[in-house]
Amino acid sequence: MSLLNYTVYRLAQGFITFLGAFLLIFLFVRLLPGDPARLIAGPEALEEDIQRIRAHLGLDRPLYEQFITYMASLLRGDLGTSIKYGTPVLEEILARLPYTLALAFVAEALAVSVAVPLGVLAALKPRSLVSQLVSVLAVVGASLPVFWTGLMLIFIFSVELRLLPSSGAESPKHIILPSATLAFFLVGNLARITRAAVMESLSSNHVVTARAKGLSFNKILVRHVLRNSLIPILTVASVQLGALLGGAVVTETVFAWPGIGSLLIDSLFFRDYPLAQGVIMFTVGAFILINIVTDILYALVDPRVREILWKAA
Amino acid sequence: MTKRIKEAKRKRLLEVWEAFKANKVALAALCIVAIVIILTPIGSRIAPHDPYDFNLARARQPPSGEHVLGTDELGRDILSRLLVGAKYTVGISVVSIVIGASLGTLLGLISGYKGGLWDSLIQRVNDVLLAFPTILLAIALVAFKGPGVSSLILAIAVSSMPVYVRLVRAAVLQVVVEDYVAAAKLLGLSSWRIMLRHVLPNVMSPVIVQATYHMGLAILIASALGFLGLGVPPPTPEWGSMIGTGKVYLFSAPHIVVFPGLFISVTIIAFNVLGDGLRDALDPRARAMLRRF
Repeated sequence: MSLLNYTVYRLAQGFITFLGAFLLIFLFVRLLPGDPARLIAGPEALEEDIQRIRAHLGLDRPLYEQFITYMASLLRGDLGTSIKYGTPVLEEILARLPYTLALAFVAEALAVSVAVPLGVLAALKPRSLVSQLVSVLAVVGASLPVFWTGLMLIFIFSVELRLLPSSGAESPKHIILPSATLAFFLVGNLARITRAAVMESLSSNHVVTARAKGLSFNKILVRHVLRNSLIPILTVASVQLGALLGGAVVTETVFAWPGIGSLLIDSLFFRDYPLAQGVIMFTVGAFILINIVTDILYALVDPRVREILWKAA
Repeated sequence: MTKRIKEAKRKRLLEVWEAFKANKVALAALCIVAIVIILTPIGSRIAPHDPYDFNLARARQPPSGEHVLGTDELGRDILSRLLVGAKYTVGISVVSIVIGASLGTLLGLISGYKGGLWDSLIQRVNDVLLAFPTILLAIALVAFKGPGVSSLILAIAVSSMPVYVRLVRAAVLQVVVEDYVAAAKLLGLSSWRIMLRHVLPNVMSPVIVQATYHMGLAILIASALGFLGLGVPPPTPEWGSMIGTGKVYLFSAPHIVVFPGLFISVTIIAFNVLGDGLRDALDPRARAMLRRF
């Protein structure tokens, strides 16, 4: 199997998963109890208003017809029209996308630049304080809810110290607190993975050989140990990045960061149902695509991974 | 014969307990988890004040002798609200994970044991569910069903389920090739009986560990949805929604946000540490390794 074949295969598979996800959302919305038209209209709405909204959304037509209509427009890149803004949903999403991307990349970069040195230090001295710190961070970081750590950071740096802005995105300074909040969530896990990877490659045969040859420790560390630890670290970092692009909803809301996540929450409060559905479908699509790209990048970088992935496909 | 099996089972349980007991941090986590779970039914009985009783004259008071953790933006006693809130935050999480784990385990059993069409069907649906980021799936479900306890349970149960399907299916595939499964088949037992009596008990360890970790995740999701205003609607004292409604007063009365956050954080940390402890105790290989170092 060639790389091109594999790419085409994965894209086709991803597309089917996307259709499945769409069908699932579609069925959830329409078959489970609860009426979206009634939700949009609010509790005091008249029955005829609800009917009008139902007709406007096409919810009064037969199920298969709704599915085909929505699917057809989805394939044309048309995610519907926002009720609140009156603009195409895709336009709203694309306007917010750069903010979500920036936040995700800055947060991940911050996490990597703290976690990797920490993990390497911990691996070199497994019984040291640094190593214990890594273990504690791995549990605590992933356990504290981001909406709370975010608020605590606001309290310390915006309220008490008055150093950093607490919400919005007007200046580069605004990205510091939200990305630190996300990085704190990620850093422990990443440092633990780094520690494990470095410890494993420290005891591997080629490192022992290099030491026996008399290479200096620093040379071994950079040339042999770090290089071989890179794959597990990159794996976790890219999985985290993918999750951030779809899952920074809460953090974006805490800091009023104008990304896709806060767009979703806003749309829910304004009962902007087409916008919410559009954002969800867009995010799921992006999430699937990122996973495929990650797999293909591995296949490019590591022949062993290539073997496993192609066998699975 | 059966007596010997019972004895062996008891011995194994005792071994696991011994291994677990040696881990003092995990033991402490177990105590915290036990307290939090006991709070779910009795929280409202031991609360010093009425969690709904508001009085603006005593709003936003810092901790004092009368109100140990202070009062919130409407003058309600924060400690009482947290004690009663366990019923919602922790209770909802327990119910959702029990439902999600049971359904996922059942589907994983069928998928792994029956194979064929069942397997393909379940796996394809599962792939689709796994394509959603967990919190997004939960938000989507709650959003389209309206806020409330039952849609929250549905959301957390559905978004945690796919992991069990995959986990149990993989474990079943390892178990079905064992001799005792072949023997049970030769005895002519029905496939449901084999699945439930002989396969299921042997794939339970990873499910229990996963469910413990998932309790942490469930509390994280339940409180995040509460914080976002999509969970249990106010004035119900759900821990996350207490932070959500209190965050406006972060500048003047930070204790309104700090204490519920501490309750959530400590509970989630306890479940995660307990999960680590259980994993080490239940997996004899990991246990041997731990002894070695």
